[in-house]
Amino acid sequence: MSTLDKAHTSTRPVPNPKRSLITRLHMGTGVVVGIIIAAIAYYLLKHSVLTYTDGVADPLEPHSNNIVLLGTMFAWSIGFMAGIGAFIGPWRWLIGKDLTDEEILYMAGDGQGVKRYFKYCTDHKVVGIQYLVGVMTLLGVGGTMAMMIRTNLARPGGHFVTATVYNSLVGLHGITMIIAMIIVATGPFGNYVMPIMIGAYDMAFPRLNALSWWVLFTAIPVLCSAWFLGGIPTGWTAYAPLSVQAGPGMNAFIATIIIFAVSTAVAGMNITTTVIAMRTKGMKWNRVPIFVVGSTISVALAIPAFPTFMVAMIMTGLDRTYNTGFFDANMGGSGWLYANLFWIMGHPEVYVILIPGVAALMEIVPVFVRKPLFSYNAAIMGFAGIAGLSILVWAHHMYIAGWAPSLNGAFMVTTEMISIPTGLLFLVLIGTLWRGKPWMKLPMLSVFAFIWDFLIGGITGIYLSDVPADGYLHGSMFVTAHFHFTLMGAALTGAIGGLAYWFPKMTGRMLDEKAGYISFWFVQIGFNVLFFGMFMAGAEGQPRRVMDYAAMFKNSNLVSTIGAYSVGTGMIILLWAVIHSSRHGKVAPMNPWGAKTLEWTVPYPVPLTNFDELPVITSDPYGYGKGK
Amino acid sequence: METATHNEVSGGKRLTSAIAFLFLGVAVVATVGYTLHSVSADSQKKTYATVNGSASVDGKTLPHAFITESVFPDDATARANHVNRTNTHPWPFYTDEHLVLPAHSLITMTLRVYDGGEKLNHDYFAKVVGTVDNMMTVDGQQVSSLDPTEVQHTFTLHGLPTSTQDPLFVNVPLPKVQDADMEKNGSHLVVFSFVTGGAGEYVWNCEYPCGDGTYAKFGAVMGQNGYMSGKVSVVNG
Repeated sequence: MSTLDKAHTSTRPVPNPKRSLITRLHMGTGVVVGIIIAAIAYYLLKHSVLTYTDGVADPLEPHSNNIVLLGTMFAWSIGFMAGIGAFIGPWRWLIGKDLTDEEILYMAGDGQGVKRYFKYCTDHKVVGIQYLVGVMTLLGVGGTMAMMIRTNLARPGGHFVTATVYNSLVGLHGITMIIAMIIVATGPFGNYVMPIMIGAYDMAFPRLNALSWWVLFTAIPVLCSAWFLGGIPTGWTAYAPLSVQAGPGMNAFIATIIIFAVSTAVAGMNITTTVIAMRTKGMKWNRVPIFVVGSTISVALAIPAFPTFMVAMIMTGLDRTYNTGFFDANMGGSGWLYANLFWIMGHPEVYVILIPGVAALMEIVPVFVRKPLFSYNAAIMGFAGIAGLSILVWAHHMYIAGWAPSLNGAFMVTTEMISIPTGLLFLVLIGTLWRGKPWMKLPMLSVFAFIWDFLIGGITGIYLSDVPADGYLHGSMFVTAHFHFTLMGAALTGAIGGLAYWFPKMTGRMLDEKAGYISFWFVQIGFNVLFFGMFMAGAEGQPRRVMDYAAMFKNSNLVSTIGAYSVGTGMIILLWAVIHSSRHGKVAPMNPWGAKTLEWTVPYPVPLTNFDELPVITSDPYGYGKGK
Repeated sequence: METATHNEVSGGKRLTSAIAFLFLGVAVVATVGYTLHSVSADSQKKTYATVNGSASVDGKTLPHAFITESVFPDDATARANHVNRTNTHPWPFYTDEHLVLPAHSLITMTLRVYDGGEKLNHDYFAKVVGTVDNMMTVDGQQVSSLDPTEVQHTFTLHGLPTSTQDPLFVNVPLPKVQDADMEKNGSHLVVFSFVTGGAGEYVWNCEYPCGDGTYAKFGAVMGQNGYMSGKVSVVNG
């Protein structure tokens, strides 16, 4: 029983812990304390680490400057968390005065309306909405940077921005979108819907749930600060030794990744524990909704994968601050060490992103064709197979780097083997659709878009996994188009489908169908035009990450830019639809789709503890057409 | 299923708000783009080559343009030589960042250089490349290369990877001023000429990593425009 359950079952009806510090803390106090702690850290570090000559800091000491900047960034993050009240619970436990039931209920946001979205709120539904807003913000920022990149590439010689700004745009677009995509499904839906789907009162660790969001929140200004520190010249891969040599903006990247890794580790442990330990009575493993299974496998995969990126960033930071030489060949280090650490995270991360999106669509299809999910077991084998194989394929990103060429064949085989479990996912989706009569509502559009987009993303991935073909295609726009077809075409499409599907449960209103359709076609047509153009340019030999290109690539680049503007228009329309519908949309009934999973058995607004009495499960969630 | 609520807005209002939102979104993206374009736009002072007569190169008569600049180890040395420029950092610098040269012309560039130096990382940049006859004069003496251990900086002019403009590559190593001479405000005079093609945008930089003691000397001054790197615009007319 979680702390919230205990509080809920106590005799105190209304939380009113007037004398508690918790009631006075919110996002504003977090920002203020964060800035104060950061300023103190900056002052102390600057005057203890930097050397001065005639009152002027020695400009030949970039290592010391990096210590000052990294220290300041981490101080901001810790200060914000202190200012919003994240440490009150652990502190009270440490001194033997644990939080009272009233305080626990207050932290859950009970009766606080909109204010709870700006507090250290432990209610998983509040955290889900916070993640949703965060994801939309990140997509907006990353998308705007994508528009700038495509504007610059609209014609050869089009120097819309300078090379330095362009490099930063590419790197920051990359990392912003990667962060957004990692949390795009498990953040909003994994937090809001998943505990209800398994019949739980709350997440296993409600305070850690709030911690995962607010820690991530502190990384956003840190990442943005890169713009004011000279940008990042390395792309999102931040390869060493380039990242070790890069200017002060690189510190923002390093701090962001370390903070984000803490957030994902906490969230991953919380989701995994919740699903393992808090499923309601009767919900055996073969009765767990497929979205829950997918999300759990995704975060379970992230738990071992992401820390390697964190370690790589810590080592990069140490190289930059204390000249440790982990990645400097002159000092006995190795650039390959970084590449290995990065890609040991980097390829599982693709599936961490992908699996929840696919799982959301698998949740949708049975509901809209009124048929059981075709081969639930095959779906689980597909997810598990992908997760298992994904940790054995990392070096296919390094065929051309010259690291262990004798292993190229082995990595080619493991990579191509991923097609088998991936094929199972297609089989499940198409098998469920087979001879069905789909109810063509908004969520279903994403299913068909996914099948088309991911088919292209998957097949082009086979070319890239092949060592000889990769020798020609690596480092080209072909690669860029391929991974956008998998990440955006599959994962984001799945998440948009999930948003359309669960929007009524999260807001109490229906998402505007007409605007959704218009947005869908703008995005999907634009997306295919954009990345088919990029496939063409890449196949012809245009390298990626360049701000200028030869005239022979001008047509394919112009086509891509036109497609990008179409995607941008569609995404703005979707954003309008979400904002407008959440305020003025048609009021949704409790179960607008006639679905059988538990989240549709609770009303909107969902009660604080989701269920008055925990349900007992007696059948699988996809028993359509079985008379029950 | 319920179909309407007191909150529902009319179709006209909904369409209007959707279109307004779309314009707002486009405006936000455009504003970000305009801002990035503006802040990254060239704000450097331009230094124009002056055309004075014509010259014959490989049997062709071309306009002859002249341009002069200096290289100083720091602000103090610059001030001692009557050049007032206050830099943010006490780093060596070329006096002019953005050079504007006429297209299809012979350019004669005169560099007065005051800095010391060490050994080049790569001997290639000790050679004179891309000038007329691949030669330059150092204090009046014609040379085609320098001792790689006696170089202070290089003036290396090259293009970005685009096929829409004529290629242009010039590399000129600059001889170092000996330590004893630096104390006496010593310098060298380097003169070289090269021919420009059609209009285009190019960059120049120093290929001798003269940054701080870390990052293999590619940090600090090598990482910021305006000291050891800049732009070259070749323009028609």
